[in-house]
Amino acid sequence: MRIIFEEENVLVHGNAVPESGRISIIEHDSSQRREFVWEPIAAGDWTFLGGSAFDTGFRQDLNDISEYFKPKRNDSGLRYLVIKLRDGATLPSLHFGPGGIERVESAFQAFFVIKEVGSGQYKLELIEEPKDARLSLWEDDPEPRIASGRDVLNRGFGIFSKITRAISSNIQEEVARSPISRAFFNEGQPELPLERPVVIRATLVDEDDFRDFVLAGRYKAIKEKIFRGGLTGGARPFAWKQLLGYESIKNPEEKYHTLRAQWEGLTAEQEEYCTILRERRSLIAKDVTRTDPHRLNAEQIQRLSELLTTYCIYDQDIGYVQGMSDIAVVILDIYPDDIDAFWVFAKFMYRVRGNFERSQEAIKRQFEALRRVLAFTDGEMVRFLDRKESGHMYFCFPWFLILFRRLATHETLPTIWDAWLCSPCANFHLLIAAAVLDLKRKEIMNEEFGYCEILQVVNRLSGNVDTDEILARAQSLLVQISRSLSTPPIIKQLLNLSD
Amino acid sequence: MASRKKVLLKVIILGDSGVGKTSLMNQYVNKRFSSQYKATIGADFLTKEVLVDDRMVTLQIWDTAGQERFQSLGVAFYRGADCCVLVYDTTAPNTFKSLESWRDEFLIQASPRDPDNFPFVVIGNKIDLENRAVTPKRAQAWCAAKNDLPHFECSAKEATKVDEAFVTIARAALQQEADTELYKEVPERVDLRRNDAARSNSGDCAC
Ligand SMILES: Nc1nc2c(ncn2[C@@H]2O[C@H](COP(=O)(O)OP(=O)(O)O)[C@@H](O)[C@H]2O)c(=O)[nH]1
Ligand SMILES: [Mg+2]
Repeated sequence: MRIIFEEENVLVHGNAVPESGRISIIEHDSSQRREFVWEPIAAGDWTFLGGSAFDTGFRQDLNDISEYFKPKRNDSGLRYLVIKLRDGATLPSLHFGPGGIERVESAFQAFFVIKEVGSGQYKLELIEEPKDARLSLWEDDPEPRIASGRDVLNRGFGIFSKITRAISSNIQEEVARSPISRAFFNEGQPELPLERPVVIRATLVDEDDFRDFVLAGRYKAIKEKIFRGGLTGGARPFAWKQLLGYESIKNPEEKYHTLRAQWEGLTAEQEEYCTILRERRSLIAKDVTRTDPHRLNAEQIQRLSELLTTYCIYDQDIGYVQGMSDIAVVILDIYPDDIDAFWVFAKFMYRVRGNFERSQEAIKRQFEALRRVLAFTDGEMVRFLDRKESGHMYFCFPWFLILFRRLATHETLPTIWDAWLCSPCANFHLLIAAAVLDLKRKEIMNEEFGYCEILQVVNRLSGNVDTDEILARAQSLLVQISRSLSTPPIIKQLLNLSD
Repeated sequence: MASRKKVLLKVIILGDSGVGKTSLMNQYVNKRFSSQYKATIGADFLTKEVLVDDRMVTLQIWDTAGQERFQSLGVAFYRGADCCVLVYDTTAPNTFKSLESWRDEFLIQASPRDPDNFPFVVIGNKIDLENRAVTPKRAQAWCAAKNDLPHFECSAKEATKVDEAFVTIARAALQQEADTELYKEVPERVDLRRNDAARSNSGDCAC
């Protein structure tokens, strides 16, 4: 969490006596969500989780603020602001000392386009920002848009190849000038030594740990801890909601019921006219019974089917595609409540929905990216795969499509997703894939396996892997890549590592 | 009989999701039906050694995901196929209608040398179910129109006609393989010394 703006001595008139406090604008690391906060100074350890009673302060998403009213001067000599929200509600009026209002207004200018619409009345239009941090490789549009420098690095391969081209042309110029570096350059791409640093997985983060860190605003630290050790089953439901930005959903219940009613309310005649939905529902019906067939009971299968059908209504461009039931079932396991499960699934899908697009471009970009990473971590393996006509990496398809769902069991999988959600680098799934290959390299390479055998090795891994070993190895690769002085810029960009 | 060498025959099973491709493959190879198979993601294959007219061959049977959007990644294993099995569900007419596009898609992706004579075998599955919706007559008419494709009505669940279908598949694949080998062994410009076994490996002609 980052504090972007702070102003002290701001009074709020509660029920009886005015309370003095501080307002601030904060930004959350994970979601980049920004909030407008008022907290009483005297209250000390205030909590947001307990509600919004005056004595514990209040907070509001910046997205929700639509207007403010600034009367000329009130009788106490203090000046005050009334902030109006999109849904028509107003926040308690905030009374400022000298210059306070001006400071708040200028802070607002960083986030809003402000228009005066009446005497002392201002309308706020949020300046468009990139939405939730969607993983770069799933992003479909490679066109540059107005964005921060960091955001540009987060972009997909379209930009990437431009960057690479720029970089390699620089290198070539460099080379032309210096005969020594030319010799070096001709040595080929840099590669990491195969000896990996030892990483031992940390202990699980439990519910209390998670809450304590969140309350203290130590988001980065807690993510790091989760990345290294994973979450306990008890901590996961709350933690995943936070990590996926569940809070940003307004009226989740109402919205969920509206979506659900749209398919539940169809009459038989209407359904006749909904060919696409009907086909999707029939695909869903086929897949829910064979998603985790030995494990799910009739009621769970029913829930799975309802969740996926509701998602079809919510995301009509994707609808239902095979593989989605594998993801949904993991989330249903964690959330007994249908509404929670649905929105967590929707948030999760937001990050990976590129995988399910018709063009399969996102998946192809991931193959390409994995190849680049592997060329650095284990060039010998890439050369081997090329010789076996497997350098396209297609055999990793199920890993990427459903994020290792079938590699692990329903018990061990969530830890992989914990790490993926909390990873300090971007596209950590590439390192997980590289780690699996790293652990299986002897088996694959000693036997001189061809494409078919490699595919078979990969397919047979299902449920027979030690996920902690894989995660430790993936972490180890990250350590090695971060420390190495020869890490190619393209890989730093891919993983969003700074220098 | 020049070569008694072991032959590997590659068979690809295609058809809409849920028609029973995975079940048919497992019934044939492992002799069992289970309602516990997961939906196929990506591709997988099983192998089986069989005797076809006195000749020992290894069938490599490829099972695929049924959703068409995943086919763009399919090229990798369509290539070099010796036979393609098209499966529909006898209780779901849509899956029968899709056969045409599965066939076309395969021919585009696999680009066999002689598309008109590439062996396809058609299987209507799930005949153990009551609610049949594709009549044998209709299916046979389509198969006849496509250069007389062999057609079988099977049940992966009850193992009805599964072996018969695969015998035909294996035979067709072997025939196709022999034709391809023959083609490979014929040098582009010169003579027709097709018994020259040493040549069979240098198949990558510059065409
Ligand atoms: N009654 C019946 N059900 C079958 C038969 N073959 C497959 N199924 C069922 O149909 C569904 C889809 O089968 P599957 O083999 O996974 O289809 P695929 O998507 O084509 O691989 C599963 O629920 C199977 O149990 C069959 O011959 N008879
Ligand atoms: Mg299948």
